[in-house]
Amino acid sequence: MGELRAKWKVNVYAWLLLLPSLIFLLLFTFYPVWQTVILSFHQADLGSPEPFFNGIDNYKQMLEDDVFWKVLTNNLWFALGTVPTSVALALGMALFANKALRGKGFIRTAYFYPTVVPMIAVANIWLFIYTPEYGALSHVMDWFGKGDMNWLGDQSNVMWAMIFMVIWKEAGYFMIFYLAGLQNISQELYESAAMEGASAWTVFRRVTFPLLMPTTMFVSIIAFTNSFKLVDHLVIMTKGGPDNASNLLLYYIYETAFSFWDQGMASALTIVMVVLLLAVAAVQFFGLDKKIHYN
Amino acid sequence: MAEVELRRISKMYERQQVVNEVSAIIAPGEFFVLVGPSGCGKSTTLRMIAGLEEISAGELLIGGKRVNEVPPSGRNISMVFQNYALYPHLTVKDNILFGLQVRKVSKQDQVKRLEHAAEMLGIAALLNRKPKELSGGQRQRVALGRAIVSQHPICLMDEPLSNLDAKLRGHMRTEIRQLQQELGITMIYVTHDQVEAMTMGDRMMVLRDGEVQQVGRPLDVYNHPANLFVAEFTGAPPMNTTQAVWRSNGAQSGVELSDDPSRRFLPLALGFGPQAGIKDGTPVVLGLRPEALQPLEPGAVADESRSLLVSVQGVEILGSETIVEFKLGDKLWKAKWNGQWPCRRGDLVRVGFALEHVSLFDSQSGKNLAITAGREKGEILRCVQ
Ligand SMILES: Nc1ncnc2c1ncn2[C@@H]1O[C@H](COP(=O)(O)OP(=O)(O)O)[C@@H](O)[C@H]1O
Ligand SMILES: [Mg+2]
Repeated sequence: MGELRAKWKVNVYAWLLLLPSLIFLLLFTFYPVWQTVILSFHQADLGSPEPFFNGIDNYKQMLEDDVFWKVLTNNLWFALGTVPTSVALALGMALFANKALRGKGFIRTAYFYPTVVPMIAVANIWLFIYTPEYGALSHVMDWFGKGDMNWLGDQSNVMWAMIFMVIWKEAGYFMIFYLAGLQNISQELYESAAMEGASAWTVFRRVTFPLLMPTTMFVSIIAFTNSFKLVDHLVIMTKGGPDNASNLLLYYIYETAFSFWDQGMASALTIVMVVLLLAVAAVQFFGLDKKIHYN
Repeated sequence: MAEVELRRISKMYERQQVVNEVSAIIAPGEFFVLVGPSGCGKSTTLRMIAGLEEISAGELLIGGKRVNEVPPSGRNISMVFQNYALYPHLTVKDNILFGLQVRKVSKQDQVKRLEHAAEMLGIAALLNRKPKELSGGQRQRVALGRAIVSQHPICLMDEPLSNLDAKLRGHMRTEIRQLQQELGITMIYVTHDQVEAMTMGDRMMVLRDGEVQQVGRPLDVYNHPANLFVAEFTGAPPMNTTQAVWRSNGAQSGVELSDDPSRRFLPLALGFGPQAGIKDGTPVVLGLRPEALQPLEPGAVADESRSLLVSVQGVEILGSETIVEFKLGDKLWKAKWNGQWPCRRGDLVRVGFALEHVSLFDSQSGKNLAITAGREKGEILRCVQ
């Protein structure tokens, strides 16, 4: 009896300690998520004064929506363009920053700098860089005789411009994780490899890279979710244009909800996005995780 | 030939001199121990031999060739690191074969060497495990396995036993020593533990603040420490010392214990002082090893000059031996006696010692004054089989 009481007492304490964060979590995370799920099965646009249940109509409609497909493929291309590149770049930069002993701090700061600048400011900087005719990039391209290119106004260029900017913004951030990962690898391992006469490439391929896999995994997931989360730059730079050429899923959700005022559809889109992200994270965690060595 | 020669090797970090003109010739097949307290530059010296650290000044020769500028892999050396440096994501087998794979040794040869090493070390059953699934001793063996398969004639070890518990350490000491003899390799072994140095080495080099204090066979170093530092570094418990003044008045010469309130006088043999050229009134340090101080039967006619009447301060009975502590002046001395001696604090005992066990050191420089007196007769007794 006494044991049970003691156990109960411990549990009560535990719950009490968890209570504050639990309340906030329920109030601001679980409840809205639940509401979103419900709303996604309702018609809730400007044409309906009271939301009413319409089953899976929103989802059906979504599948027939060309813009949705456009935005989704855009986003996948955006992810494909940013994730591997920024992760690889981050790794390269971390290896370099870790090697360059002198001025280590300076190099780190230089690489990390884009990350601490708010996205809105970054967007404004790049808006200037990408401005046709007067922008920095146009000036540079002038030397090659291609000064007349329009980066943000051209459907075929705009996505590349966005991808480039995001890589610039994110690589430094991911580099920090890689630097931390590198610090965790014992110097002895490298010295032992040096005694054997292993080349730099062999050491990277057989020691450094495998031991950094946990970091790579973590960073990849962050990079992937980021590629779906990032919208600030679209608000400033392109508003998803021209003709949805740079529109991404989250910005489309925002437009649907607050420009077209279709709450039901926006909720359905949100659910699709969340499921997509969860699926990718699950594949990465449960599929690849077994092959990774964790300390 | 795998002779290693250090010629006045030094290491400077910024302005700080960490290793100062260390010289030694290490013979092929020798087990050479670098020993000294933490921070004295042992690892730095070893790493300079390995090529992991640049040599600031001096020359390193391996097999008669200068190798200062040769990278580690070109020096025919294998190294066992303090934390074993096992690749955590590779199996034991891949860990052992890593070096051979890098050097593109043929597959059959790899297998042969792996089997040989695994059998020698008794780790054949562990080959498919990852390092974190091994105990400390097993990891140690894997690290040794790497050195074995490399078939390099020289092996360096930096405190390889410091991560093991006491019992395993004792076991691995013998095992490493045996391995080295079986393979006939030259071993340069770093440790801060004088017991390891004494028990494993053919010769040992005692370092202090980057300077060589003494090089020699362990028992020679133990019996004839070159200076006070070596004397107090070797032995467990270390050598007892106390300040004294050399007195030489015609017929009798000896030391007066300066820290002793009664300023006891210990006459030492006549031949001792004059040969060492000690002047009357010279401050010296008297040293006696704990095992040199033996109890005298209360009834026995004590030779006053070679004994001390002391009051027991503490007793440690270890079963096979007893360590008795007493104060001499303000110094706490320890005597080590075989067997179990049920002394108690406050007991008065008379301890005697033989003259040849007395060491005298210059109180300024710490140099052993008797070494110069030519006490080279101290041969190591042969073990009777
Ligand atoms: N990279 C370094 N930079 C500056 N000082 C160092 C460096 N490595 C070692 N030292 C100094 O050199 C001295 C000897 O170090 P070490 O050879 O590791 O000693 P040991 O192995 O005998 O304990 C120490 O005082 C240490 O602080
Ligand atoms: Mg060391």
